[in-house]
Amino acid sequence: MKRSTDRILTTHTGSLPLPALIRQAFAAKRRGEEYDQAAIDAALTTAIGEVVRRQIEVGVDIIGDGELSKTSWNDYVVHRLSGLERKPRSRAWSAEPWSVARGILRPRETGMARVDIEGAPRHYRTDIAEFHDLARNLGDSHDNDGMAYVCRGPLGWRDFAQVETDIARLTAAVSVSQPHDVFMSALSPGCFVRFFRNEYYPNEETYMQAVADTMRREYQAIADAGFVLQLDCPDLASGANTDYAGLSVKQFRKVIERHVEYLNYALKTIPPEQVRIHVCWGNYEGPHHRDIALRDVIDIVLKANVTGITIESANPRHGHEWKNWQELKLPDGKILFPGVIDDTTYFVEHPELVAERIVRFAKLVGKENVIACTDCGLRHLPDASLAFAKLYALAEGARLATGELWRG
Amino acid sequence: MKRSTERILTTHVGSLARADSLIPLLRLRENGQPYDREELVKQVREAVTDVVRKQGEAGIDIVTDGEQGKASFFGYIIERFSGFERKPAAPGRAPRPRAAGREYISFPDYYAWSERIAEPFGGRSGGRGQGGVDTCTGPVSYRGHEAVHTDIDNLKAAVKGQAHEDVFVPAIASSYVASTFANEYYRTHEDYEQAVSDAVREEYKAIVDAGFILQIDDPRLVSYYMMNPELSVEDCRKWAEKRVEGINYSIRDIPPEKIRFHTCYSIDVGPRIHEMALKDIVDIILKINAGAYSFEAANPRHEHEYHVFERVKLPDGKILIPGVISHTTNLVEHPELVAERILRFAKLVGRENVIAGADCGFAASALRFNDTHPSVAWLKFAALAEGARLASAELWK
Repeated sequence: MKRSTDRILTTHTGSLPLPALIRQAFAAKRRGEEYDQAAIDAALTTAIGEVVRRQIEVGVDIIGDGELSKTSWNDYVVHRLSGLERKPRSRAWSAEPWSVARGILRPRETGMARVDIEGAPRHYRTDIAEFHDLARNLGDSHDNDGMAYVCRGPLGWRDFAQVETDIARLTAAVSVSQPHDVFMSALSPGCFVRFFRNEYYPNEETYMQAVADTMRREYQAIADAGFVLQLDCPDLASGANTDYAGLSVKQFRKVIERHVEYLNYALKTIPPEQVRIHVCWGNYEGPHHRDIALRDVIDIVLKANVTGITIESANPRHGHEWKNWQELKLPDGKILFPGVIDDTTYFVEHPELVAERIVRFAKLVGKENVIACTDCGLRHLPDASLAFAKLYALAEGARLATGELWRG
Repeated sequence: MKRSTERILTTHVGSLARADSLIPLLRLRENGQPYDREELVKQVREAVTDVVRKQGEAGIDIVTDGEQGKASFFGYIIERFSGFERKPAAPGRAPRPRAAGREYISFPDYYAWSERIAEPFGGRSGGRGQGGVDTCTGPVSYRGHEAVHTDIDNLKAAVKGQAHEDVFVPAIASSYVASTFANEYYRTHEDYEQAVSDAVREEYKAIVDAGFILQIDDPRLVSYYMMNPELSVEDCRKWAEKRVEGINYSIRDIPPEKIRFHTCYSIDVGPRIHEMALKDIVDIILKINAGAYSFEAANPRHEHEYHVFERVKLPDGKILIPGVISHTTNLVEHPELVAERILRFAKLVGRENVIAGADCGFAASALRFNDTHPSVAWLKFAALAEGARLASAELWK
């Protein structure tokens, strides 16, 4: 994994806005309607080449494929694995139109699958659920998206070729554009069990084991391609006010400790310096006042046997947590990827603000241990030009911070 | 004007969401259609009582009526000033001048989307421009005495028995009116602006005479640059200097300590990459004869601008009211972040010269789509108050 040895490097957490044609095809796919896979494939090859070129153009150092081939960062696995089945949800939250317009609850998300912890009340997002105007509980689901995937058979790869195609497309794109470094994201075992409930394996332990054993094939393939592997782990933070909302901090810590154990198990054959994890509190513009504090989970996050850790740090609910690093020590060899761009606002951060955020972290954990990142994915931004304007501000801010940090 | 002598005081910019039942009445009045006057008066009175109580509960020290009786921060011009009428925009003059600005030109797709999502909720303009634009067609004078006294009476009744440090009432700046509504009557812009200044002054005096703090709102002072792509920063500075002269004329015998001035860039969230930097206009803003200045400092485009006060000295006796919470995001600022923002300013200009505020109003227009949900504003006020407590503990330890 490249480090900020002579300047602050930049990256983001994965997703970028979808071209219209791909977006429409995914919507059809999700509804279970006919879609033209050949047309998607052709569009993807062009679109990924383009998205790689644009990232480099605006100054992103460690680039990805924008997750353009994936319906979403988590549910892409249901199109690739066997053992997962669609099942109508017993209950669904429906978004109030205002919050859909504002992007707080996206219609797509109201059908998001969840996992229940025994004994815990079922919550959607506790911050939003408190506002009856923001979300309404409709009881039984009426919408087509109100489907959950559950595990009802032995997990295995039904179409691993999709992973290989992703890798081949990105390999082809970067051979032309030659970025500084390349990453590809994948769903972590902890998030897998969070989203897809087990109805097949005898207990949670054997289920987690099966998930880790299955998913590691994807992780290995990404690492073997020479890419940095990013495992998406919002379970380690956002889980606390969603799927595991009924748990105390102590109980929640137990859950995520187990998630990190299986993460480490799934990564055992991959060098830690080739892996980064992404931790966040949920990519939505809700109040977030029920988010668990970083200090309550960070010691467990640091147990992940990986070099890179990306953490939301830019948005107004977590913008103060850089101070935690006054007391915390970043273990030797690890790299912190603080979010310095808030993807939930349509403002383009001022580069001087981006620089200030980077410098704060660099002064606390060492400039060579910081890579400037976004809080979370940028796919939901309404306009690709806005996403790239934000990434440009990221690169510009990193240049300013570099000027300050490497001065004389 | 109270200052933060023993602790950091809190306030906000003014507008708060109107009750659902109030909006249709305000819309009818705004459109010049018949409405139930008694019902409106009753509802506004109740709403003011309600929002004042809630501000107190959330921990806001310097409270206001949330502009409950107004359709928007400037939308009361027709009602309270004679000399204006609503008529179709003159040829060549856009009913939505922002659409010709730097932002729309740079991000056309974003702004098309932004307009579209807001449409089912009153849109971004709240219907303005459809019935024509407010235009000056005759001699301007103030006829809103009754209306402003209703505002004052409602507020006096509401704050009675409620804990608060001060009360403020927002009013529109003459410069905003004169540079927003076309003049078809006065021979020169200067004559027009002076007439408006003399008229708004009536409202200002009523507010100050009631013992309240007058807040003068002029977002145009800083947004003029964004809205006029053909003008340079220097052009806009020259323009702004003139406007400040007009504002000072309108407040010529009102003590500065009775006045705070608010400016901001836009109500709506957006990329905002073309906004005039504070460093390019701060000296002009500080020439306004007010006791305090309220400005955007919490959003990602302006948060770094506290550094401006490393070089600019705040004149003696003046107060800064930086925004430490934003009206453009539904994320509730963490109190520790609020405290951090307050401390940055307090360390530069002195703790007694800082009052913690908001970037802008949470419902600058009642009839349009606003980016934060009404319920979220109250959580943000609580975070603001908690952040001020944390900052006070640090600053007075």
